[in-house]
Amino acid sequence: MQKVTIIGIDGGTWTLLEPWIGAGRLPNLASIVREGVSAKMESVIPPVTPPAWTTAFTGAFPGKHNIFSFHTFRDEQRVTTSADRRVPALWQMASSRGAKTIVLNVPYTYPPDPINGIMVSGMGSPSLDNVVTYPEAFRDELVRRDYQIDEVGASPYRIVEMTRKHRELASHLLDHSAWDLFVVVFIGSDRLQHLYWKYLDPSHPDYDSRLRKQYEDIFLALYGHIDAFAGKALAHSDYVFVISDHGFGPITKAVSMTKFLQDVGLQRPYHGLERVVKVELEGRMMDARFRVSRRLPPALVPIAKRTWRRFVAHQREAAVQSTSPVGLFGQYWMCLNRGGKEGGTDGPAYQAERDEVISKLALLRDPESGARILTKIYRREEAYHGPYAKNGPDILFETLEGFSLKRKLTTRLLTHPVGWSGEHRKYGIFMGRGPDLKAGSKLEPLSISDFLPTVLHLLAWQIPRYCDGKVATAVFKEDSRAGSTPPAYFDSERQRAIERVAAMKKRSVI
Amino acid sequence: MTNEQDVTLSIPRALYDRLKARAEGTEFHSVAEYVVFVLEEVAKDDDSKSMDSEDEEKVKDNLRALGYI
Repeated sequence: MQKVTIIGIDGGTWTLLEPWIGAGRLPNLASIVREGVSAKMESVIPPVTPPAWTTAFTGAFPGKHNIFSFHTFRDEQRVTTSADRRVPALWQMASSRGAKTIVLNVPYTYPPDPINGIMVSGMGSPSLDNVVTYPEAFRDELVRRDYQIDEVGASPYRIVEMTRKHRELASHLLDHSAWDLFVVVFIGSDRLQHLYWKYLDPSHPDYDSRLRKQYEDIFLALYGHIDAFAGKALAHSDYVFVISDHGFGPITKAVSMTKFLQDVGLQRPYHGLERVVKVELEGRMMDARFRVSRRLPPALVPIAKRTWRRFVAHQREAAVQSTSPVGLFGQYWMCLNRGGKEGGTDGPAYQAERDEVISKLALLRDPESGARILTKIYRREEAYHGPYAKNGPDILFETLEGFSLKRKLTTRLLTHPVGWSGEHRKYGIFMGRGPDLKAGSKLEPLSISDFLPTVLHLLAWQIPRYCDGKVATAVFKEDSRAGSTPPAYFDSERQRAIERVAAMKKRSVI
Repeated sequence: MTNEQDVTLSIPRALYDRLKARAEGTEFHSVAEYVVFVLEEVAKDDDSKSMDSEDEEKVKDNLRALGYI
């Protein structure tokens, strides 16, 4: 088998990469672009990490792979795990063909899959104390290296340091283990971009030209680790692909969705003492929190922060446990309080209520320009197709670029963004270099669902027919095998069995 | 593949033959692999948790710290 390395850059975007590649700052990624193929790659709905990476590595959209977000949307919001994934991933397909496979740090792959090689789970793993590796004994190597799966703090230096550890483990395995397929995702890029986009983007309201160089150096230190690993991979692989799960761009305005929902009667307004506590005190408590945290012994700070976050989360959940039509919501989705509606989500009562909510959401406008903030609104069944489409949220939306939807109640609808200054965008990146791939070719955008079928076709493996994506034939040289033979498909018996058993369970036959 | 942890079940020869024909050229390399996969699907509790509540809370703490939930 030809050796294939796939490098994932979480949140990787041409907006950042193009200028750095042009300036010679990322020489190995530059050589992939120069000597290979490159394109934008369109993410999933919504463009968030768990469903997007799962689509990249399964070729199926969320209605078929069943991973919709960081958590489920069924009666209780339980965190997503790899057990929720209902179609096989590339590394499982490779393993069953006997290919030696290494998989590192792909988000939402905990618990790890038993594969023909080594797997280390990524974001969504509880901690290094859990069994985050396959085989289990490989965990000793992580402990020995003081490895870190993710960095949840805001220190940019710690995020770069984590990325160094990711690169070192990946480089070590690239050199010292047998493999045919090597997959690694670098998560640090997404962490840095959410927090510090403002220092790279002159169009951001908080841009400060005095800090630009300092932060650009930090970003380039992180991307330098990824670039160095790409260089090593190029020397050891027949094919190297570099992809991202979604793009990135600035957050310029924060929208208090809770204020909007209360104003239009979709959530219960806070009254009396509750209002004082939730609106008046929350702002002051946020300030106090930082003052207090400076006086606490350092060992207590993480505990204090965790307790505070749990308290806020509990308050928020308590506020929507009510008769209000709208329950929890996020940047891209909204759930209705379905509680005991006749006919469930297929019934007319549910449909009518959802239509009513959607018609009100269309009223959310930027007071300055008058533009609709939710530029597209989808019903669940418009966004998802497949056996698990019913597990998605009730409503999904796309927002006007730069607008971040917040749960915090503020007195004005729009406020200056605090915390994050960057958010996901629909278009991420795709690039690849290798003998059968075109050289120096910029292509039309691909769908992230095309990635898996394209890799399978390159390897002359059959493609499961349930895949939503198609082979991106434009990436191949026309006279190559992949470029001159049509893709071969097969009907997945595995998938048919899953769907039949699911149907029998639904009818309570078994 | 068999090991000490496995037990043997009998199924009618005719069913075995039908399943063998069906599994051929698919992802399954043997009838045993096919049958185990189907039975695991049947036995699976779709709403079961693959994490205990302590681990669940650890992941949620991380997501809150990151600002995702």
